[in-house]
Amino acid sequence: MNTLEDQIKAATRAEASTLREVRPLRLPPAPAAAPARRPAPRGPRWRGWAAPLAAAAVVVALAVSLMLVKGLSNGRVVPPAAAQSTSAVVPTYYVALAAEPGRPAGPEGAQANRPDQLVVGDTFTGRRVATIEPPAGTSFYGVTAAADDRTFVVDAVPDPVGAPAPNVFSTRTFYLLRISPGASVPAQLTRLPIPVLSSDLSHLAMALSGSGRELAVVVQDQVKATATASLRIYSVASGKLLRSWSTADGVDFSGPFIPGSDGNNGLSWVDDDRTMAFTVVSTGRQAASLAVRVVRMNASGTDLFRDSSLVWRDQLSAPANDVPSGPLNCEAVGNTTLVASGQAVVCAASSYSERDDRVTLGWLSSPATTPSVGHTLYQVSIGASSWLAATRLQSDLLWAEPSGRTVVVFWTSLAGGSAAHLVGHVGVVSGGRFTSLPSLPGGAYVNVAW
Amino acid sequence: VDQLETQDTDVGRLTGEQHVTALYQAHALSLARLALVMLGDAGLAEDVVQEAFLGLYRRWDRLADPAAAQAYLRTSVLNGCRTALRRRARHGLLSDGADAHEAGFAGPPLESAEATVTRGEEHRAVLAAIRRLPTRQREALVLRYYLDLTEDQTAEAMQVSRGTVKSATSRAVAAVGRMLGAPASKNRPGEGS
Repeated sequence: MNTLEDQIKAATRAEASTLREVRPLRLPPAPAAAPARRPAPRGPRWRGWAAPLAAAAVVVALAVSLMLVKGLSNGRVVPPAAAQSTSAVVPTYYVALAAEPGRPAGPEGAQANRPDQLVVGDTFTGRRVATIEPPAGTSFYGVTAAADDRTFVVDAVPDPVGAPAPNVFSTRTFYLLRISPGASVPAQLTRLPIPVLSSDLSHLAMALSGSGRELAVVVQDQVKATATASLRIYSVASGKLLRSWSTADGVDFSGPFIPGSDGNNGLSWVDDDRTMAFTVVSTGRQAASLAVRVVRMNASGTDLFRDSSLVWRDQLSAPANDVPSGPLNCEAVGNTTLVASGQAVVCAASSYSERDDRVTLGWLSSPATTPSVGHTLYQVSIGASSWLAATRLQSDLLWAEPSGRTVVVFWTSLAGGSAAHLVGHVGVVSGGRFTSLPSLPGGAYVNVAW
Repeated sequence: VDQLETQDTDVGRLTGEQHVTALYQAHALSLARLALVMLGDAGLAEDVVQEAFLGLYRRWDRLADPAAAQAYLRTSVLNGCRTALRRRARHGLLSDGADAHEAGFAGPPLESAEATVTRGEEHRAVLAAIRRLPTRQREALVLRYYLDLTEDQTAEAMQVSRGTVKSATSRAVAAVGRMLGAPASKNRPGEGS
């Protein structure tokens, strides 16, 4: 053990010792009669409920590993290229989740920055078309869009005042949001007949079909001892479960989707809604790969892996005990998607160059059939004043048009090279150019849909 | 260091409420301390622990193996910390030029006077560095050096491979060293201990 590790031990234990008591546990009234206890599982006891955490672990580790850089010096930000007209391609309206302005901070802690409103905005002017409050006692959690620029589905979670922040385990209730910009009622929220998803399930991702008729939801059982994840297809009109595929008991389902984001970048509808694509990280002791699989809606069977097929795979590059570097590669589930045409996989990526102390953020596209011939749609190079600053730089993929040639992206830079001031950039990448868009509602970039 | 390991308990004679309450009395403080080290906010740490126990209580009758409750709780607390950190990180990211501390990017929140007095300057610097680590590295570091878990135990708690734990811990220690201006360790974390 060296001095630095001793310091870490001493500091963490000193910190912990400052907490000397905790408030009493407040339990709700006893629940109704519960079903019989399950027999002891054969596999690891923690796998059922912990698997979604594994997914988070893999995804977060992959995402942050690319940002692990050191000793960056102050540097320039490569300016975006000149703007190009993209209004004919990108939908005019978005729906984003946003924190309520002026919501009190303080004792309510995590609630203070909880996103809870829906904001309908104009992509190109930034004009706010409508603001929708969540139903009483709930908070909006995720949003997904159809292809018509008017239809969205959002989900809400219980959010009583004073309670801890909701998370992937919270129950989900689904709502249809139809927008009518310019009308007297510009947005209308209607509860969908899709059954409320139990808190026994981790809700990992959702994606509305291009037609707006089906909603795909990925859930994972957190009570069962084995990691059973399911891709469910619901009818938006009737709420009926149309199809369901699950992982078989015993399959190590480690790494699909980003728990908690309710985003749909790792989950997409392709081929005129006849096929569902999902992105998976396959982990192993020595290596890991990022893969996109597809399952056809008319496929027989109910096994998510046996009845789906692999269409794209890329080896994850970050070696153990080393700083990720080298050329840009797709690395994160939540930022890698098969576009609606099924012809290309697009992703956000980042990399660090130790030689010149710069972080490169970029967006890549590769043919679904030949991952090895991918190309960079756009990239930006950023220097930072410190290692800390560099770790905060990120690139995200927010939306992709069906061919994959035009994408809406998000990235961060540093004002004056300082870690203390992050600047968010939202824009359209098309034809090798970046066109800035007006800022999205503050703090809501994670949950936005076009 | 508080130990979170299971003590043999006759779960069959206790109701779910009694058992969860007993678990709370035995382990809430140690779990809250774990969350405090992760988050740097005592109130938020208690919230995370309360939520973990509430989750356990609601699922008690359907829990496949009640003896696994403590492992469940530890991972639930880690998950709660991740959620809190994600929310903290997300807030303000798009507010151009916003103050980083208000936006949740500038490390630990303000401390109590008692904590400030208690903690030495060196500890403060180390803790500030730890809280600037990416969440995964922070988890690995805290589990390995605060809880003294082995690499295998840490891998199980984080639900990652042992190699990932080694990598994350190594990077975390190196990063803390850089932030403190200390020379990098020649040993990989845990070696030689």
